[in-house]
Amino acid sequence: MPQGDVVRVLLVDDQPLFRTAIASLVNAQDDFTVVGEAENGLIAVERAHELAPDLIVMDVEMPVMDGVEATRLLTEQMPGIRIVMLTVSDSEEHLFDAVRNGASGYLLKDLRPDQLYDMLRSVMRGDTPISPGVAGLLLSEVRSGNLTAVEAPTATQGPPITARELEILQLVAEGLSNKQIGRRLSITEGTVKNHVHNALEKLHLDNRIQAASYIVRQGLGRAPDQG
Amino acid sequence: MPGDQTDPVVLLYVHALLGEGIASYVTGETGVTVRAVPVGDSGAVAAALAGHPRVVIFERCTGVDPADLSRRAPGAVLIDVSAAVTTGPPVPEQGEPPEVEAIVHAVAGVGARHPHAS
Repeated sequence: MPQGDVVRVLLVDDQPLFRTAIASLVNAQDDFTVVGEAENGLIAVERAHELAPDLIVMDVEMPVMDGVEATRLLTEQMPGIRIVMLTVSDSEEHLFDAVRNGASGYLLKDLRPDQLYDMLRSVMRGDTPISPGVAGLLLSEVRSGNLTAVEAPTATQGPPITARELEILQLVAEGLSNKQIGRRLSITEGTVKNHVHNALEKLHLDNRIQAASYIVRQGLGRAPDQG
Repeated sequence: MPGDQTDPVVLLYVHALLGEGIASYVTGETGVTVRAVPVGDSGAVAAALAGHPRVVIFERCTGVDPADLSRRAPGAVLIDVSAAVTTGPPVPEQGEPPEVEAIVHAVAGVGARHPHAS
């Protein structure tokens, strides 16, 4: 989305008090506005179609329809919306299910407000923030190549990516941010972002985590001494 | 001295997003300053309770004992955001969390009794 625009947020959580709390915090930020709330995944899907938000902050465990299923539906139906999970659950299963179904981030509710703002902004920049409390789970899976829980699409039907795009995805798979990749390759962060975006589209992948999984599954990771 | 602080409403939180968010909302709705204090900071909690707050908002599910709160802040209205609204000890049983309107109503009542509370 263009810089300077206010990000329109839909909050999804089955606890009214928590929705009120998050809405109060988010609305206090100049660059975000909460346009709606929903108490479960089913209502979230309906509200998303009505309100067309830029960003959905989604709980995982909810009655009627959980956040992972709602994310799967919304990713299919409204692929332009970014969805970030905000949950108490640090379970590996929830994390991998959410990512596999298109979540753009996975945050725990033990964050401080300033951390939440930073991570929501990073989602809108195209990054995939993961709470420190669960990031280790994901990295260990990617590094070990034990990716049974994160089954990135095989992506064989997509057009081949360029050498530059492959190089950048390899660095993504090593856990580098766009800024770090830009410094490493002496290009701007915006250029990195464009390459990542183009590569994801070509490979029919939803996010950086799936890209990292794809690189590992395809045996395209760089050797350790290629630093 | 910390004990000289006389915030009429104290909110003890474990989860900063919930605690600071509710404090922000209630302050905005009532004009009464809500002092949000991390429950793990025993010094800050002691100072806040020593200021004779009229309302204490807390999360009992995280281990805070309402009877202890009543001893340390006698006469305060206790609002358990993980159970029900009550005055004084003990909270009989844990039920649904209170509607935010109930919290606003309790805090607004403090503001009415203390016109300079904010």
